[in-house]
Amino acid sequence: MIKDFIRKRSIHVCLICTGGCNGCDIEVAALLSKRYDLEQYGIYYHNNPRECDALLVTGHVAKQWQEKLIELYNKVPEPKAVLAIGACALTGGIFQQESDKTGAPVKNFIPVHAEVPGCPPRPAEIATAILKYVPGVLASYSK
Amino acid sequence: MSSVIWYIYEFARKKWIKRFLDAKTDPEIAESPSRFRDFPQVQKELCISCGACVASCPSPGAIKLVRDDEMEMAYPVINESACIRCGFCVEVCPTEPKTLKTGENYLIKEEYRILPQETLYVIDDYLCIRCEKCIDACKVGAISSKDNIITIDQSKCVSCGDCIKTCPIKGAIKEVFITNIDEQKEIINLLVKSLEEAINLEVERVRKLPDYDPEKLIKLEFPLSKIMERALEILPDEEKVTKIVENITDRLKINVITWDEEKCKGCRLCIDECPTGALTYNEEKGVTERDPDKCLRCSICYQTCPFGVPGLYTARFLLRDGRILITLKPSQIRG
Repeated sequence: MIKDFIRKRSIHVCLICTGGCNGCDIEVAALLSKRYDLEQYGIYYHNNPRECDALLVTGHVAKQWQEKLIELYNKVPEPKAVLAIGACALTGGIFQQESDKTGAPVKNFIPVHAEVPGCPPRPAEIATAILKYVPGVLASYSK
Repeated sequence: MSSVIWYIYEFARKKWIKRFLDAKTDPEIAESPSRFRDFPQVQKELCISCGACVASCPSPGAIKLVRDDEMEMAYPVINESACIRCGFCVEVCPTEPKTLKTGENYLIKEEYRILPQETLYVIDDYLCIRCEKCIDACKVGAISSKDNIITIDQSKCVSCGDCIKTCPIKGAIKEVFITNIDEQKEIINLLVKSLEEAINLEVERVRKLPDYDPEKLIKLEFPLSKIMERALEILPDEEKVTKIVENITDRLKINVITWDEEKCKGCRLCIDECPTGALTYNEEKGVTERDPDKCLRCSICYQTCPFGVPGLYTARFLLRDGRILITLKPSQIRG
């Protein structure tokens, strides 16, 4: 009960880049800067999937990432939420092609709870998506 | 002590205090500004279904034309999860005002169309009656009238075909294929040659009929299927071949020279007049013979011959329902 209450107000996220051009990662990095200041919204950034509640997945899921992405997803403790960020993670974007080198979209590998379109999305759009969807997903686990 | 006072004075500047108290978030952090290139908005009713936006899109699957049966047209639909918000589709949109809108890109006017096209629309000045219906019909303003000559600006044309639909004269606006030039030449040569052969055979037959009137029009038919098989070997696209044949027959005018050796008296007047040496005297038969491959159809022999051996006909053509209708008119030049 109290855990749910606290979780909604302190969302720990972990960023996974599975290929692509890193543009979306730079936008997430911009969220950490003073201009956007992610932590004032109660979102905390980690590099460790074991510590986080929400995974932010960017990129077109390159071949080398396909198994590792599932591995990483399994490492996240429950309750967990996944956000796919950027055109690459949603459809493959400009990397979309008929081959096994790109595994996009991300939802082929792990369940995705929210999608943020854009190439890249604005930092504000990413922060809005985290605040809007992640608490709901986390709360749904306790029901 | 004085340095402490100096520091207090320095940090207590009025401007700085005011800035500290008035500190607020930049509005562009939360709200995207109007210049931001967001996902393009589509206004269906302005669309002319030219497909320039689809051709310009660098991201596969981000934009496609969807057919709307109710409005009887196709309009672009943007898949937001694949769109990379580059705004190219808005830049190339040729309509006025633009069908697609985003950021400030709709202000950009491309000077040249980027649409890769197989066909070119040209106005045939010889057949054009200057009704200017096509100028009103053109949605991108590519057709203009200058010195009473109507032309299509190829850099603006999007090959929608609306001008052809409104044109009251068949063949005044032509849809020309800009690919396969050599194949087109071969097809045209094949068509003209086989048409002439067919006409020669028919004319010989018609002239021998008892009720033959030299002043009367001769009407013939030539089924397109006769040459279609050979034409498809040259260019394997039946629709294209039909279009090429249609374009040619609209304008084609062939002078046909017939040669009636029975009438020849062997006077050899024509042989010296012929500019290409197509006429030779056959001493065994005592008649002059004509070589159709060398003949220019200049009609000099027709004008020279006192016995009416050569016949001159002007043939015009019309393609209808897979048949070429041929109208043969005896020449007005008197022999």
